[in-house]
Amino acid sequence: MGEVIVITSGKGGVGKTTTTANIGTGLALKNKSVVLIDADIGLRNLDVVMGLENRIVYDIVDVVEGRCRTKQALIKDKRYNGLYIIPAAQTRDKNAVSPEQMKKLTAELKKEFDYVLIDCPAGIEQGFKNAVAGADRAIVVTTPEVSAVRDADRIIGLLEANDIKDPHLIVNRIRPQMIKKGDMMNVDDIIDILAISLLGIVPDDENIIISTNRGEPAVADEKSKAGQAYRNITARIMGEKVPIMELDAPGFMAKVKKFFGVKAD
Amino acid sequence: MVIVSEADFSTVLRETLQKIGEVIDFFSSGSGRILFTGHNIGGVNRIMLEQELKKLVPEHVKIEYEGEDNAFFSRFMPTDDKSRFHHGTLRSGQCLKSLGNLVVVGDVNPGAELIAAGNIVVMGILRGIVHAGCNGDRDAIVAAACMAPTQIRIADIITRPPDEEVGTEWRPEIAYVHEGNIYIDGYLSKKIK
Repeated sequence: MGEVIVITSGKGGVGKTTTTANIGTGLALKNKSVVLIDADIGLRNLDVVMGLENRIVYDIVDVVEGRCRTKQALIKDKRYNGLYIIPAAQTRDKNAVSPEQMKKLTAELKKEFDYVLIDCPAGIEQGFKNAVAGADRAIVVTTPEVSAVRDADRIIGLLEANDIKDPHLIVNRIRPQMIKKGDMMNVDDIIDILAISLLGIVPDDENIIISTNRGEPAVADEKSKAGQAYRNITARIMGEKVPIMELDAPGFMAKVKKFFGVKAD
Repeated sequence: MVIVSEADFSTVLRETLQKIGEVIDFFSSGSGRILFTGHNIGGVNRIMLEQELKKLVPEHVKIEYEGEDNAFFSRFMPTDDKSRFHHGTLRSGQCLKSLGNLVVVGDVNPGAELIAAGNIVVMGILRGIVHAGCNGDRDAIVAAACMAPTQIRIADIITRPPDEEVGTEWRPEIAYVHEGNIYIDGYLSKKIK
């Protein structure tokens, strides 16, 4: 029996789709069977980020409306075995699917897959309600911006109202240099406000833009820092204990301080 | 005389009278008639036209009209009235369907869909999904001024471009079914059966 995880944020543009693609690919790299569901009906992106757009024949609306079997809508990833996606419909809107239909679909899928990841649309309306309907767990993505954190807080409240307890947090697009200068919220501040457990932090990385445009998730890129961050997150989802990564390589003084047991700032 | 539909009435009147004036000798002997085809002139305009003409030509010349608005132009148009014509860019999420042929004067962007029982012609860049012959007609074709589709479907056959990046060149191409496969070819070099 697999697990259904919804990846949500409230605010748009913080990296839900990128996170979904990378975690999904990361789990597949660890030989798990994974299906990614794009719940952003009408504004689908996940297929593009995965580089699978031109393989779409049936989509999630075809599945729930009974025009095809669930298996027919599963698109196999071109690189990794055991990784599939169910794309959203582009010519419809969020109302084309109901929370009950999503529950039925995720229940069916988690019998066959180790992980069912749902890429939630921005907002708190119908699309959000659909995406969280069948979820067992939730991952909340935010960026170190006041507005994104505010929306994440709202989402966490709504998740609790939907009986999804203990959501986990990913802080995306961190710029260590800016935090150092005090120009960006640091991760501890964010956790103080949101009061949920941290699943991982992802540095701002130009490689993400490149890999997203190419349709190849960065998680498979050994050189990418964000890729490393997503590999760590994947391991934590699977229950491994991996320390949160240090974003800036500590300078000489910090190492000396650490050696002497002084807390590095 | 053929009246084109775009012309406004004052132009039609002026040019008609001018033309008739030039050949007025032709009408001077025997019987004759002036036949108007093409755009149908009706109502007040017709009365005005006839009044002006009668001043010019002898009485025995008959003035006649042929057909309705489209009588002339229908020769150039497909008789199938289910065909659809769209002018403008089709964007992601937009879907155009036709029971006949489908002609788009504009681009078809990724995420847009064209579905037709007949042929599909795109007079622009085709980047989206097209499905020609959607009722099972394998003789249907897809033509585009520039072919860069996400996917092409003809009848029950689906094809997509290769995963390796292939550059898009600006040349008109046509997609058709041959022995159960979809082929894409330049259509200027090739005669379409």
